[in-house]
Amino acid sequence: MPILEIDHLQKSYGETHILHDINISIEEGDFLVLVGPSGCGKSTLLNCIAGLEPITGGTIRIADRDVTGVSPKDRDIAMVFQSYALYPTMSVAKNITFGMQVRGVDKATQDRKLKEVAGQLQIEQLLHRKPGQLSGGQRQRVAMGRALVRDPKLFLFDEPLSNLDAKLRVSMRTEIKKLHQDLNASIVYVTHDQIEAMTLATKIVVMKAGVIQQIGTPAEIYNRPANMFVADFMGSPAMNLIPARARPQDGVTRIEIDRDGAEPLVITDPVARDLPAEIVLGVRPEDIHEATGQAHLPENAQGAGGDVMIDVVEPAGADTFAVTHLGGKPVTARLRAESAVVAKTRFPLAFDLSKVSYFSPQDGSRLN
Amino acid sequence: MTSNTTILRWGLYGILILFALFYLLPLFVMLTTSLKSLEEIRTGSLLALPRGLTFQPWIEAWSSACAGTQCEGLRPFFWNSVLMAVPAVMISTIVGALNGYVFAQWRFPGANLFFAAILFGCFIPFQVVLMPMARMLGLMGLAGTIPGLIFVHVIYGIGFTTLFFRNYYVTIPQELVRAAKVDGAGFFRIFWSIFLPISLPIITVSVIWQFTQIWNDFLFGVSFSGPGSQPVTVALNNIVNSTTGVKAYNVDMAAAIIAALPTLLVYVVAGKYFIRGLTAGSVKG
Repeated sequence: MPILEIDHLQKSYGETHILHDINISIEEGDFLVLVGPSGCGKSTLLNCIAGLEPITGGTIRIADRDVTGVSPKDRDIAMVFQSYALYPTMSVAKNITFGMQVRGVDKATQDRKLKEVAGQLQIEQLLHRKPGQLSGGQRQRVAMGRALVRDPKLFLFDEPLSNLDAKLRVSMRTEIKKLHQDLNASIVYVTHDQIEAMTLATKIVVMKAGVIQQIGTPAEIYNRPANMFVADFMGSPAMNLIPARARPQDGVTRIEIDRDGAEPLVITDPVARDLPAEIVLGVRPEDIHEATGQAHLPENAQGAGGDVMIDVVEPAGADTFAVTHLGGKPVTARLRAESAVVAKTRFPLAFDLSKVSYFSPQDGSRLN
Repeated sequence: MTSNTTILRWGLYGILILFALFYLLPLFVMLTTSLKSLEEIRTGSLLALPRGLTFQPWIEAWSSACAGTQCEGLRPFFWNSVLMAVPAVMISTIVGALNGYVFAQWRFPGANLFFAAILFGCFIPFQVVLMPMARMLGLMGLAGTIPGLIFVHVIYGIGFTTLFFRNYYVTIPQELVRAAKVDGAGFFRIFWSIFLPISLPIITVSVIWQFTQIWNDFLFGVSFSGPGSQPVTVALNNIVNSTTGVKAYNVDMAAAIIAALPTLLVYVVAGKYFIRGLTAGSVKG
């Protein structure tokens, strides 16, 4: 039984369509992340699920109950907001118990649940403070406590980590993931941070301009992006998208890539593919390898057929990024930290053709 | 450089002291005159300190000065003003708070038009509404009564109080309302539990503003009051204008100070919150 089922959801303000035909279904215990650039409608979608925004068409079902016209308080949901939205004049304890108080839960139960949640989030010593006296991370915890205490069917998170500094964000991310595992909670989580999406999700929805681009597991989204937008958006550094030409030839596919001041680079995909003449080759930086003698090439890695001019070398500690340009676009390769690559010299690189994506340059859709 | 700034500083102080004197002088004259006997006023200088202190003028102004034919001092009219101002301030502040809360946090179709209309109400000159208001009060059976005056002041004050509260509440993040909605709180519960507790600064602004306006109002008071419902400002005017024979300047001055005392008191008690409320507004957290 799906815990959340969104069917042909439409949302528009007057003539402006914000969300187009959204269909999503998640199971109990799923961690669904809605990700996309700002203005893509992900937060609006979350507010629609919460019932804070009315929808123009379609249905929303939570735990097999049609909640399309139901008010937020009756949807059996809890929500954590970007600004935390703690009630400024109430103590932490009051903030957490306010919902129960409104719903008329008896005092003993309130106290028991408050204690439980405070223990879980380690905020017992903060219960008497006001939100103004808390640090960003502590406010975040209180906001989560307010959601947890409700014990809802579905948790909704609206960019909960974006107001924290980088270090705290990483540790809170881990904590949210742990919480999800411990509680086996069903979560819908909005973020614009693709790393957050990859690390947290069991299922990712990538959105752009109110349209779902792809739904899949983090691995599916990362390895087989449905189009060039998803390929470019997910992953850091982004996937290299290189304009190229494809020629089928005796059961293999020849890929030609233009190079500045040299013959086109020709690589051979050992699989016969049905590709148009003009394509865009998508290859992740970590799927471009060093092709020198001592480097270990994965089995399917295909030599680039020659050396390429390296423009910039960026050591990043664990890896070294080498930037060249192919087909008129900068191309980044993630090499080993101890790589001997030097800027402004020619250097041999190899593409792992078992992991590349082919896209149509016309509509950006995936071809393989 | 240093001597230059010193000269500038002293020049600045000089100008400020001059202005302060300019503003304080009338008050000084009023206060000293109210404590002098009529004899001393006639013979002495306007700016001189009283030679023999007398509180007789104050007692007279409060309880026996004649306003028209009624010789009971300011006392009954003072209470009229209290009975008018306190409910009018309270009602206009509460209604303004609710209006502001709706305009800031519960957007509805046409909200901008409504808000513009209410704002427009702030700028309508008093004189324009006198005739229609008189007719309205007559129809409602409130002409010449204190409830009638309360009604007029509430209507006239709502524009300002709505503006105050709306501008204050608009700085409060919408997510707060959304969080409360998810928690199950409704329109009034959110107002009562979340918005009112953070409103003290703006309530102070609204109360001071409204109290000053209503207490000091003369035009509505003189237009819409009856014999038993005249506010203190109207009575003051009558006392000053209805002396026969020798003009009792000391009583007039004492009466004027008594009439102005409540607004002065409100500023002294809540003045610092007034400034704070006008400048601050956002609520962090």
